[in-house]
Amino acid sequence: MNAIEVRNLVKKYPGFKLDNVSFQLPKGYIMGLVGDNGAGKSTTMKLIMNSIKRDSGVVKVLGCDNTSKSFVKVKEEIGVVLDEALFPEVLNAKQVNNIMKRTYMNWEEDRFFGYMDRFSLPPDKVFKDYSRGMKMKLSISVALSHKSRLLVLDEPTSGLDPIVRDEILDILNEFTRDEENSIVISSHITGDLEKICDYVAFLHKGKLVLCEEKDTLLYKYGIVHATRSEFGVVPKNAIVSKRETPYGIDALVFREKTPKTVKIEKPTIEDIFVFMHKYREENYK
Amino acid sequence: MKGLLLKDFYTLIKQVRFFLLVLLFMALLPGTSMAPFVILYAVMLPVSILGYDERAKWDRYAAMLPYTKKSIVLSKYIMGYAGLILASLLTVTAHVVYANIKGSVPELGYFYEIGVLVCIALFYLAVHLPFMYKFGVEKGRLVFLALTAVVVFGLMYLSDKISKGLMLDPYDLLAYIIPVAITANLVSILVSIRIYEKKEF
Repeated sequence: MNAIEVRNLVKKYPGFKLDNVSFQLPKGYIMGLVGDNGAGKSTTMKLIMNSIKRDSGVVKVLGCDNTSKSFVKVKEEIGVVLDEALFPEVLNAKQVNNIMKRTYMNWEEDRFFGYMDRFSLPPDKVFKDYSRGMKMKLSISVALSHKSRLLVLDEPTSGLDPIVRDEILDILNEFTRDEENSIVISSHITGDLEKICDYVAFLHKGKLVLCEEKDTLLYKYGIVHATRSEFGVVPKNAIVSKRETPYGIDALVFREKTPKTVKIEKPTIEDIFVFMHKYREENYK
Repeated sequence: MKGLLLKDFYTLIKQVRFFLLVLLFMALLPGTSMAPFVILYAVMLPVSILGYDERAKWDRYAAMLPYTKKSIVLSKYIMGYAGLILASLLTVTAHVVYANIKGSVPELGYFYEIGVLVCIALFYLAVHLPFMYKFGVEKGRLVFLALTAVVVFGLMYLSDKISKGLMLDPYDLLAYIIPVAITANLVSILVSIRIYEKKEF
């Protein structure tokens, strides 16, 4: 079964359109949403949670159409972390525990305070005095403390230092060890996504450029650094996009279509992402 | 819903503590009528909460929690009503205590006065909350000011009429304005829910 199923999703704003986006996240897996600013990542997240109304298409979350009345019940099993949106700043974590106890049927107080401890978050301090990273950690603690089966995480690692980010990625990996649990996560930090995701979806200007298994993606593409003459043997249909430098040519290529004589390096998600967006646009200007 | 109310309560608790101090101070000054002040303050409580919510982008977060938009809106009204009940109980108690200290009998007129004030406060809630939801707290405050001007002039006009004996006395007035206040609130709740359901965060 799919944790998330999105079909032909459309949402129009003045000056922006999320255009006919379709993808599926099977249960037990992690999907990373990658995209530049304004690509439609947050819009997609909001549409998954139905906090904004879609213009057309279908969104099913944990098997439930998210516009149906029963979706409120399904939300019990979804943990959400949003970039910048949280409780009023005069509250503290102890109070959040009391509020959530009365919000989620499956609230796990011990687990929540366990995470507070693990992240060294002071429970009595008001959020006004929390740093951005601390707020993020609090938000993640909440999302993980009500027996969620799905986590919807919008930029959960932004503003955090590498050590904490790593710790959070560990926790997320732990979470999906249970095959019933799934995660959809967006981030600018493609390295984080590369570490944990099973699937990667690229959004650009409201369109889904690609959505594939990470391993397939990393195998399918390759990076070539070559001089102009060396690069001459690479057929045109093997080149996804290229960048010319004073020293030669850097290119993203299809591994299968590139001659064996050319040295191909393993790409990172970031390489694929940057080449697909930036240089492709420059190449086709 | 309980979680939402608790969150609103926590948001206000510090502010209300300060308010109670001011109240105590005013109660110690004989001769001042604190009733209008207290009751109108209660009406402003939901606005205060909305202000805090807006700054924290709480509504975006709340939309992700297992709450219906209906209950999110309704909880603000309930906070307003709870504040109003508390404020009027407080002033009535203060009045009775004062009367006892002075050795006099509490005036019946005072209770009617409170009744009229509560109705005005209810009317206030009913009119300004939908605007708050529609335009946000900053612009909504302008409506609040405009409303205050209308109410003040309205009261001046009414008291003028009453003193000239041309219109109803306060007792009859109450019989008219209670149903108006209740109806206004029911309509207001429906309008606010509609506005909130259409809103995107």
